[in-house]
Amino acid sequence: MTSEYVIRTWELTKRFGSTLAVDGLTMEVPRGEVFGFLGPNGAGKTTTIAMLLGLVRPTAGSAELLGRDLRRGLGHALRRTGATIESPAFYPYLSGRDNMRVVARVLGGAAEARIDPVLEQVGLGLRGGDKFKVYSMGMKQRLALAAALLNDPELLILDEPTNGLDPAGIQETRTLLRRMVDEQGKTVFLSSHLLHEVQQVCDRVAIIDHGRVIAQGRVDEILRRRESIEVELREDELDRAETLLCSQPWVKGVVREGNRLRLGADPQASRMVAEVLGSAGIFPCQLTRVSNTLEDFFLELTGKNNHG
Amino acid sequence: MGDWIALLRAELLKIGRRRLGWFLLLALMAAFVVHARNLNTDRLDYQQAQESGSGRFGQPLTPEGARATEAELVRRMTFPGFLDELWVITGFWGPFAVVILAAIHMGEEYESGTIRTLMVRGPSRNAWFTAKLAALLLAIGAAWLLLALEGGLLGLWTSHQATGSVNLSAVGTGHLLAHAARLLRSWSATLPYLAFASAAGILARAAGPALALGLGARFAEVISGTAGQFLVAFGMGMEGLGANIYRLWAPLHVATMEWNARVWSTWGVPYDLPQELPSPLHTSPGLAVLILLAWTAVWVGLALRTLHRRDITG
Repeated sequence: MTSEYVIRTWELTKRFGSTLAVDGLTMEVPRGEVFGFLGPNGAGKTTTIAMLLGLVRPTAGSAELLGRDLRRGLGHALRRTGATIESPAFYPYLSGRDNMRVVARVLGGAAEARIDPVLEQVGLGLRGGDKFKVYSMGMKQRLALAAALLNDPELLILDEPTNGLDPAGIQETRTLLRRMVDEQGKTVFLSSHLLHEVQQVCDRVAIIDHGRVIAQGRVDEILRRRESIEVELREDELDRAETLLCSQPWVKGVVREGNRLRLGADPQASRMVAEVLGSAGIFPCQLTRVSNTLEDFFLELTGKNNHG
Repeated sequence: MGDWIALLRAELLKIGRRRLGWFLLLALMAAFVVHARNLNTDRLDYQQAQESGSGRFGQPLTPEGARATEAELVRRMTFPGFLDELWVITGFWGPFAVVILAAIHMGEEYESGTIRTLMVRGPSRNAWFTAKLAALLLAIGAAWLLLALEGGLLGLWTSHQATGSVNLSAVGTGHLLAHAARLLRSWSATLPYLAFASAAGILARAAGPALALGLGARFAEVISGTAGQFLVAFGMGMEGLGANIYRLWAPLHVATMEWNARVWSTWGVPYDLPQELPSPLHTSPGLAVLILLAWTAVWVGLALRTLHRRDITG
């Protein structure tokens, strides 16, 4: 029986000397989705991934990878997982294809037969014979992704996979990951700094800071919660409009920005805003539905937003 | 077992494509050529000394003494005597090459981060380490075979230099079997060095410090092993202060990898130099191989313990 969740952590903690890298992290990653794992530098993302992959021993707490308890050894679960962690690390004196051969032999099974198709899939088909040391950063990232795909994994754990990729490479990776989830039912756990990318590709996100999850949920729900309506008015009508709108039960809050009012309200309520203001003889210069981005949300949560 | 074999194949692929391994093999081969040339140079010196009455450095030599030395050199330059010359190279320089190869091969896995690339694929740490050790041991075995082959070819040249002809009829099956047995013993004697340098790589988590640790220990062993000869050379013999130092140090040196590798690979006749003193260090080949196995177990145990207890990254 397959579990509903591919990754689960309970109060996962890692301390390096006096530094608390991960602080009681509890998280669940559902099967069959792209899950974004976000956090500022030093938030504990890579340490968490390293613990999930058995590279780092947790100080406290526990975790499961594909139903396998971390403390009981991950061998079998790791063989069903494809992963990249930190920067791509391969043998510089070997070609891309030979590096794949090394990884395939470690994996065993039919992985060796998948080398050429996978290199083709990540766009390295023609450069597989070149030595790793002459690869650009983007090519190294592609090779790392190829290595992660070699065992046709049911779970992909990718640590900053688009670092160093050109825009075309980023788009290809996004398309590839989405296809793996939508068409093949795989799960992708993706750590990234590129919030615009995460917003486009992820179904669900968890945001961590100082080693703790500070928010998690479906991307569309988070963004919907953050949507608002912006009303541009004449200077002399601002006070009256603000009082009027604040009294409406469906308005969660009003913020004045210059000659504009930003309403915390469902964007579907734009018509109601127009009606309320119109009935009081106030006619807005402009009424705009404002969609917040994941980046705004992230910066606000992690306190890195200099503008607000 | 199939997974372990696949790991071994992965390690063999890496070692085979590494320039460092081939460079070290070429260096050992070059050392063998230099050794063969030196034998011939010495032979010519002693040949001339029989007429001039003095050696290369002006030291007086009797014609009989020079003749006897030349005869000994001719014996070493012709078959089957030349077969033993390979072990002068592998016995002394071999462990250096093994330590360099293993320390860098292991240390770089950490330094370049490739260990995490492999470990996230799910091999057990024990399997990964033992496959690595086995692959290095197999590579060294192949190198030793190539050196033996080179020895055969070089022997044709030295025989011709020494006698003007090549006579292989003196080489019997017994000589070849003894040669093969010594090849196996000399090869197996590299195992503790391999385990030691690999453990150094895991402890240091970088090639440079691992290399320094490995070579430092090897130099320390060599220096302590030649101390007895220095005592003799400086005329201290087995008397006085030198003798007391020697007696204190000897029981320690008898436990070293250096000494026991020599005893094991020479099957209990570890004296390369006739002026060496009869030594309290003497051990039997059986005891020597047990001590070498004990060292191997210590280093493998240390490496595995470290590998299990420490985080791979972070």
